[in-house]
Amino acid sequence: MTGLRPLWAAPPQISKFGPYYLTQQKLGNGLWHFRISLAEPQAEQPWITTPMLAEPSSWAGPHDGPESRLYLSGLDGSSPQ
Amino acid sequence: MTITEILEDGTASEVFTIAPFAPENQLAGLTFYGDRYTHVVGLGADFRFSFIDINRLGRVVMPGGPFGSILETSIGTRASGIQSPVAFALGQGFQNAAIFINETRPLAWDFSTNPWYVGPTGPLGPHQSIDFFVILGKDLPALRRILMTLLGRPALPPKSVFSPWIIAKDKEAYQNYRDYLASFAQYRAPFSNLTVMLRPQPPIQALQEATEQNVNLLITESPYISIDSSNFSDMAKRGFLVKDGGPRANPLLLTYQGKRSGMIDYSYPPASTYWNNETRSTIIFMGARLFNLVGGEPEVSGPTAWYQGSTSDLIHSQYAWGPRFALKWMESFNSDRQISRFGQYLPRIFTVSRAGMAGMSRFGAGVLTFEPNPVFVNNAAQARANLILSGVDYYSTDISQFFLNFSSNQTDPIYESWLANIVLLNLPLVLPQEILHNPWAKLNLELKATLEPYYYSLAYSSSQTGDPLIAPLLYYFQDDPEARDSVIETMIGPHLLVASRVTPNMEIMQFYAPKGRWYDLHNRDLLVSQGNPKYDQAWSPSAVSPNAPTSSTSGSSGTSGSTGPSGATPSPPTSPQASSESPAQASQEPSLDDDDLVVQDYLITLPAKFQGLHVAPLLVREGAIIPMIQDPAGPRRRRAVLIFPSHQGSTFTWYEDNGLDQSYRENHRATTTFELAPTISDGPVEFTIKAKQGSFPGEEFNHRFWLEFVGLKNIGTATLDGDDYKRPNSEEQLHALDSGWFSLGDGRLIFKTPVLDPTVDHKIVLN
Repeated sequence: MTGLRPLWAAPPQISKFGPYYLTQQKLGNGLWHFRISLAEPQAEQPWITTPMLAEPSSWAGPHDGPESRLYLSGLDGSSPQ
Repeated sequence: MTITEILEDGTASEVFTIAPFAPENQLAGLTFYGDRYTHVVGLGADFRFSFIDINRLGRVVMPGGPFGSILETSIGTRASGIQSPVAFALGQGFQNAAIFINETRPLAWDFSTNPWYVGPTGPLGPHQSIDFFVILGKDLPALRRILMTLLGRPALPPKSVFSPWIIAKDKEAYQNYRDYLASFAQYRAPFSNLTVMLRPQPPIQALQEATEQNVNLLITESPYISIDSSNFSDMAKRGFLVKDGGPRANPLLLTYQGKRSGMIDYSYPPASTYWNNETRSTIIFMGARLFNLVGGEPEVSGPTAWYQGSTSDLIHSQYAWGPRFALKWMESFNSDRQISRFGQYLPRIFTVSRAGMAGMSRFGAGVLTFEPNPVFVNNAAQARANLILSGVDYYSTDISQFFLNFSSNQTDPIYESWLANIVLLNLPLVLPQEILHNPWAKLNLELKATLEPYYYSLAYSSSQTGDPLIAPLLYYFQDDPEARDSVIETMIGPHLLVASRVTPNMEIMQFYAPKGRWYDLHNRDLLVSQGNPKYDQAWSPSAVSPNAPTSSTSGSSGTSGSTGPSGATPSPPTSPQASSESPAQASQEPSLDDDDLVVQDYLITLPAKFQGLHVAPLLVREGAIIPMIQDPAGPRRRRAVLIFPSHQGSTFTWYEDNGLDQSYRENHRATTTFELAPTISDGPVEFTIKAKQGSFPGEEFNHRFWLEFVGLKNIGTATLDGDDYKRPNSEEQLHALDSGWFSLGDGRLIFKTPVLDPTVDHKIVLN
């Protein structure tokens, strides 16, 4: 498996809380990746390669339905907008 | 952190509250929770059969052992777990979300606490991170489709997966393979294929004989290489065998079939390539298409096994690699996904194994587990339901080992009810040879054979969309609280509902069908379900969450209460007898005595027999279009379509190819789409056969269809493309005509089309 990013993926966002890094990335409509780590993750491929996963280029894919929207809160006390 | 979903109307709904679980400042797992959820389903399958219900809320789910899998019985016939780490959390109506933990180490899940917990049963790897995906969508099918993009949609299997696989044990007959294999021809009809599993496995020369007799042989493959074999020293020298303790250690030696043996290291891609080139390609060249993967279980290999992995792998231990081993083994059969080689189309290969992991479906792999006790139908049904929801579509059971020491007088009644329950659900259908002569076996097998086009069309659709072939009721009826907890009622595609709780003395069965109009497939009678009236007023989560911590029964005996955030360690393995037949477990099994059925008038009551033989009740949903092969073993073998008009209208695409190789991926396939227009009361029924798309060499049928319409009102005329057709006085006369139509009464009509021009659409109108 390569580390190719799905074409429709947004850039990952990396934030820090306590000793942890949180990586958040929208990979396609309805699919988000998260990683909580002690070491700073790579922005190019934030997910770990495991044999369970198919080629990233096939993940989620274009979607005909309404766009799913998601917000994170709690890291800095913010609320959903 | 809190993950919040912004809904279409702009309102916010909390999906999960998530936090790292880090006792003593060591990252060890994840806690997560969602207030809105009443059900958690998925998580792969627990074949210890510790549960009788689908919902995992209120439960603790542990891996089978320290390496994620374990054989728990002295006779070695139990599968224990397929780890597919996805949890679908379901709330009221269509509230839902899924979380997929991207971790192959053995995982413990605890849904008995607030917050919930998931984490490996041992240390995290060198990444020291928790990697996970969150999936949102409008309903469970939407979530699963996204999951299947992550794991890979199932490869289209060879058509032989939809025909019986016979387990034969007549070792003496092996003296003459030609005659012996020819003797199986009697079982092929009504199916297009037949597969035989010989125990013990015959020499490879039998493959040639089988091919000549038009019989598929299921080949048993183990990963073990005897130290006496010519491959052993070469593979050891090249580092292609699992090592005993470290990178410079000697090969790990195990005893297999009485011989000291090494084990092929499928984690190391060059080892897979070597084995494909040296041995497997020859077997496939000789005709092998179906493989039963036996051995390689991590608990057998033991804690010192050391795996090479690929160049990017930082981990090598049994703890890290054991659970993945079966997945890499499956991958070794289908890793390149080439269509052709040297001008020849490559065959479709399908493997079955008792072990596995999320992602196995894309390699053309299914689960073949051993069922410890065929009477515990709920235990098997919940395992199948959660396995399928978790992304593994092909599942079968073998109970032949259970009956080794019994006479047929003792076993036939159990086999009869068991077969009625699983014949439509197990893909492939693995059967002991000794039952095939029975009339009840022939009846059930003919039923399966008539539906072969429906299954195969669903399989192709599944490979394109990620929708399951078989699914628990909640998949299609998520907003029906009664359906949420249904275990014995299972959907085959979106249109068929089978109630699989037949027991040896059963005459009638009560079961649930969601609100709507259904038809009994066996006799075409209309059944109108009102649903469960107690849910008409409002959704009541407490009423549909029998596993909530406050009302938990002891259904997870042996697995609950011992772990969680405070100490995630595997529970001690229990023996299969203890876990499946303990008094606590037995007391929860729904009564198997018909006299004990509590009559609830919202349930449907139907005979559990047809023509005096056990069959599972089988309902067709209004709006269904079901392609079939009628009279599959007889002289009137023909293509037919069952059509059940509805107010909504519907479509279905009949998919066909040669069922053998990869040529379908180069457009050697044919599809015919049927469209049923919405039918207004007393209005005409309009059914369109769309122009056929594509073709392939060796098509069995011409473009003629027998169309059976069911549930009609006041039909006076039937036309095809505006033309009137003959109307004989009997169905028998219709067989003698080239085309025409005949009313069977009770709202049923058969229209036999002439051979149609496949390049244009054709419309049938019933007025």
